[in-house]
Formats: sequence, structure tokens, C-alpha cells
Amino acid sequence: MNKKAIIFFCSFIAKVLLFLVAIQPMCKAQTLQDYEMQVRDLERFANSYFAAYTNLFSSNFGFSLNQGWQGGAIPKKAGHISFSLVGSSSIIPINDRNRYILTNSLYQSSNIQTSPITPGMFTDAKGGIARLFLLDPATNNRLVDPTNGEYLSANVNLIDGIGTEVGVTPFLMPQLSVGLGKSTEISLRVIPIAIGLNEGKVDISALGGGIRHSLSQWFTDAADPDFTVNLLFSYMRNKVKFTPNGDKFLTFNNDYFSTEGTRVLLSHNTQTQQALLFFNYRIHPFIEIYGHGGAIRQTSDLGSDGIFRLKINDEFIQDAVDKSTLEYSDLFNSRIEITKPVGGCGVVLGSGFLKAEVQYTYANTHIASVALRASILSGDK
Amino acid sequence: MGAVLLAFCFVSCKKDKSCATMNYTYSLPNDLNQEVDYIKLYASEDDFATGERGVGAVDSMGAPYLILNAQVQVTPFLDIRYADGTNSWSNQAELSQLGETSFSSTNCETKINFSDYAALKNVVRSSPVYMHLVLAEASQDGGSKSWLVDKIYDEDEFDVSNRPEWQCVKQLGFTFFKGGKGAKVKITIPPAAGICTMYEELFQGKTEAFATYSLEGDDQQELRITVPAVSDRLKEQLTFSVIESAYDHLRISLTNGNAQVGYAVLIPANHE
Repeated sequence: MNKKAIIFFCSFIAKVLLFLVAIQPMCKAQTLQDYEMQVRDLERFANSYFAAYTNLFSSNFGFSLNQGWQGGAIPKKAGHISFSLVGSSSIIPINDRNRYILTNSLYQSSNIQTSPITPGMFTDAKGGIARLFLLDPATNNRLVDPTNGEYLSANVNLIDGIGTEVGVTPFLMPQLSVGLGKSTEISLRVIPIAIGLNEGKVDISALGGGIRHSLSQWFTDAADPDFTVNLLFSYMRNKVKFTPNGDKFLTFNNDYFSTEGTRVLLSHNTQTQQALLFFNYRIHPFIEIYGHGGAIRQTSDLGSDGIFRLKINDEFIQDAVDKSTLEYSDLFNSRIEITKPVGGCGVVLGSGFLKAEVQYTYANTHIASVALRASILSGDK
Repeated sequence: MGAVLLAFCFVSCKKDKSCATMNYTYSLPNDLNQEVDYIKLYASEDDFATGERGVGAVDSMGAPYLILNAQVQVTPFLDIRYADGTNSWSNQAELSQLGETSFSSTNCETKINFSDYAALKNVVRSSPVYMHLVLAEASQDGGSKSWLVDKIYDEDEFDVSNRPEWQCVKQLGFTFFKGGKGAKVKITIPPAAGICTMYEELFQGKTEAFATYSLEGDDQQELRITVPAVSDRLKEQLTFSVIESAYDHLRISLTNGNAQVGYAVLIPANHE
């Protein structure tokens, strides 16, 4: 989750609730709960907005994570072990279809007015605004300050693009491959990373594996054919979790409000399953090229765990309303499920101990992968 | 991979696509252009309210369109008026849902295309009373209009304007600002109005108070003035039935502090 997005949401909720405080001294006939529906609408709007803003990342990260599996011929005999370092990233061209989010596709509510478009995550575009109005719970009419005629509203700047002008989802991951014999090989990838930030800890974990098997061995008697066909099944899952440090995240404490008791973790999970056929051709003892195709399915969940708790500190307000605490669970929650065809090509350079591989795949978007592979044990020889 | 990234960056960074200002092009159905009396597009709600800096429809062989150059952050407002006074003022949110939006970075243009005339016509349904309250005439772009209570009649149509129980109501002044549902209204009472206990909660010792207004009900004949957090009694006193409306007079039913029903005729403050 983008840090700016978190700050945005926090100020979003705080500003609205400050409005509630502003009018509460006059609102003896009403309770904070009368306005809760409007806050809920803001929550739904924010959820739909964050899902749209992070869509390019969320919908492609899992696809890129499940690429970079090795092409080329598979060692025949059991016992071959190789270690690889695989890097991969989606490369998402930013164009007129994804440069901006069309706000009429977001959650609509009568207390929220937005500009027609707002920047997407990876663009250099700026601008985009949401104007929040406090409405009378009984009539749904906007409210003004009776003394000066100002609407009880706030302008919130929506998040600008981060300016890369190309969408990327980079990762680097170690991979261990073991030959099982009969030109069959399994590969495993695991990456546990924990990054400490001032705001909290980011845990990134990914694991998965693939199995590839030579189909062509069943149709040719050649000992070392130049043309081979492999089948690959692979599965990857990853989890990114942000655990905030103490009270720093999504929390505040002032004369009016505190978020005492808030504990929210942000998470982004993906799971992908993939089936591919590789058609490999060795054009030189040191160069092997291939084309591959198949299908991939991704499930991506952007969400949060825990409770966001808002408590009213002001004593007068506490007396004036029935209940002075609001609780929100499931602050962010969006899921993307996509099944896409996959196609691409690659080249394997080198022989024996060290190989380098460059791969291009189209799976929902462009994905580029590079890998360095070192044979630790050559069961083949 | 690095080379591919560089190539993408090179292609996409050649020109500035950040579009600090945008050309908003609203394409409207041709039928609309033939049937309506007035179409204008405004860059913001404030401009819509004052009627300043609006752009009109460009005549074309095909569907008419409006072009507005403004900052990306703006929310354009459409002002559509039929000859009978029916307008789009209170339905801006529904209007924005009907438009099909597309964006072109080449000329920083956002196109909003309204192709379904029937759906559009169905949304442009705000009561003509909105225009009567605010404008001096149908062709005025925007602004505000102040009204005075000219006469008050009781249920038997007797003139009770000078009766003590109606004096508080009689001295009220209303200034309605353009804007549809939730637009602003300023309510005034003269400093020398004496003790008007029925409106004490509204004015709180001052001579003016701001609120919002809307026309409610299926026939949009209930003029409701909304003030934050006031008693149900005052809410009732600030809810009027519009019996008759025009640019030069307004006839509404209301109650006084004694729960008596009356009919007030309001006239513009500058009425001669």
C-alpha cells in the first residue's frame, strides 16, 4: 500500500469527523451515529479509490512473480542441481486508458464530489480532488455554517502519480532446481525479507515452485535433440505485510479525537497458477532459443486486518452523543481474479556451469525476466 | 530488461503529458440541442452559482458540444434548461454518471459523451421553482435573488399581514443563491424586528443566518430550508409548500409560532 494513500485516508476520515465536532455543540438532538452512514460512505469511496489506484500493481505483480522459470532442454538424469537468481518485472506502458482513473467508476455517494478524472499510480499526472460535504442526516441536504454560509466541507487532494511513466513490479528471488530423472525437474523459490522502517516493519514473503517435464523425449530416440518440447506447471504465492510501529500508523491524538486501541495491518497477497508449453531449439552449443505459451490465473487481495478505532476526547461531545467511539474493521478490501493467456520467448546463453537467460512474456502485460543459473551438481554427466 | 525499461521511458518521457489544464469536451445528443432553451458548462460549482465564465454549446453539423479549458481538479457543472423551466440544477451527480468519459493525452482532452438522450432527459428534471427562486428571468446565467414577504393570508384568504401573530414571518427576508438541491439561502430579519421568539433559535441574536434549501417531494413543491441541528419545531417552520411560483412572485404556505397556517406572497426585494 502506498504510504501517501495511507496518509490521505487518515486525513480523509479526520477532516470529516472534525466537521462533526464543529457542529456537535448545536446538535443536541442528534448523535454521532446519525452521521455514521456518511463516514461509512467515505470509507467505501476510499476503498474503491485505493483499489483503482493500486490496480495496475495489484493486477500484475502476481503474474510477474510467476515468470522467469527456465526454458531450454531439461537434464535427463536425476541428481542435477542448479541454483538461480531470478529477476522479473512487469513493464506496463502508461497510456490514455490507464493514465487517469475515471472517477465515475468509483463508489458514488451524495456527500462526495470528485473531479472527473484523477491520476493513476504510475503516471506523471497530477491533480484530482474529492470534496466532502457534511449532510443533514434527515434530509440529505448539505449543511452550511449558519454564521457565514460556508459549506461544512473539505477539499482533499487525491494522490498524484508517482511519475515513473511506466508500471513496474520488480522482484529478485533465489531458485533451486533439482533433476528427478526422465527429463523432469522441480524448482523451488522462497524469499523471506523483512524491512524495518521508521513507521513499522514490512514483511515480504514469496514461495512457490514449478515442475517441468520433457514431452518430446517420448517422441524421439535422439540422445540430445536440438528441438525439445517441455511442459511446465508452476505455482507462486506472495504476501506483503506492513506492521506499524506502535501508534504511528493511522493514528492520531488531539483535543478532539484519539485512535487509542487502533491496530491495523495492511497486506497484499497474490496467488498464481500457470501451465505453459515450451518449444526449445538449440541453434548453437551455447545458444538456445524458445517460445512458450499457455495460461495463468491470478488472485490478488489488497486488504487490512485489525480495528480502526476513533474515540472522541472532547468532554462536551462525550456528554452530547450516545456513544463516543466508532470502530471500523476491514478498512481496505479489494480482490482481483484474472485468468489470462500467456505467450513469450526467451534465450538461454552459456553451457555447463553457468548460464544466463533472458525471457519476455506477455501475461496481461509485458513481463521481462533475467536469470543467472549455476549448476551445482551435474547429474546429467 | 533495463534496455526495455529505458526504451519505454524514452518514448513516454519525450513530451509532457501531465496536463495541468484540461480541455473538457462535453458531447450532447443532437435532440437535446433542438429541444432545450439553454445549455452552459461551468468549470466549478462556484462559477455555476454565480453564472460567470460559462461556455455555451458549439453549433456543429452533428451533435452539439461544449469545450471548457480548466484545471484538472475541477468538477464541471452543466446547466441545462428547457423552455418550461425544467432544469438540471439539482441532478449534477446523476448527470456525471450518464457521461461516457475518455481521455487523450495528445491534446490534454477529456471527452464526456452523452449519447443516450432519453436517459439524459430523464435526469434533467429539477423543478422550475429553482429558477424562479434565484433568477430575474430565464436567460440569466446565475446569481441570487432576494425576496420579501409582501402579504400573508389566513386559511380563509383574509389578509392577516398586519396581525401581531404574523409579524415575525412578515419581516423575514430570503436571499436564494443558485445551485439546486443543497444550495445556499440567507435568511434575514430587521434589527428592529422586536422579539421573534419563534426564530430565536435560528438567528441567535443576529439579524441573518445561512442555511441550505431544496425542493422535496415527487412534485418538488416542498421548499425545505435546512439549518444544522435545530429543533423539530423550527424545521417545521422552515418547511413551506410552494403553491405558485414565477419570477416575480412566490406563493407559499407556512405556519407561525402559534401553529396557525397561512399563505404568504413573496415578491422580489427590488420589485417596483
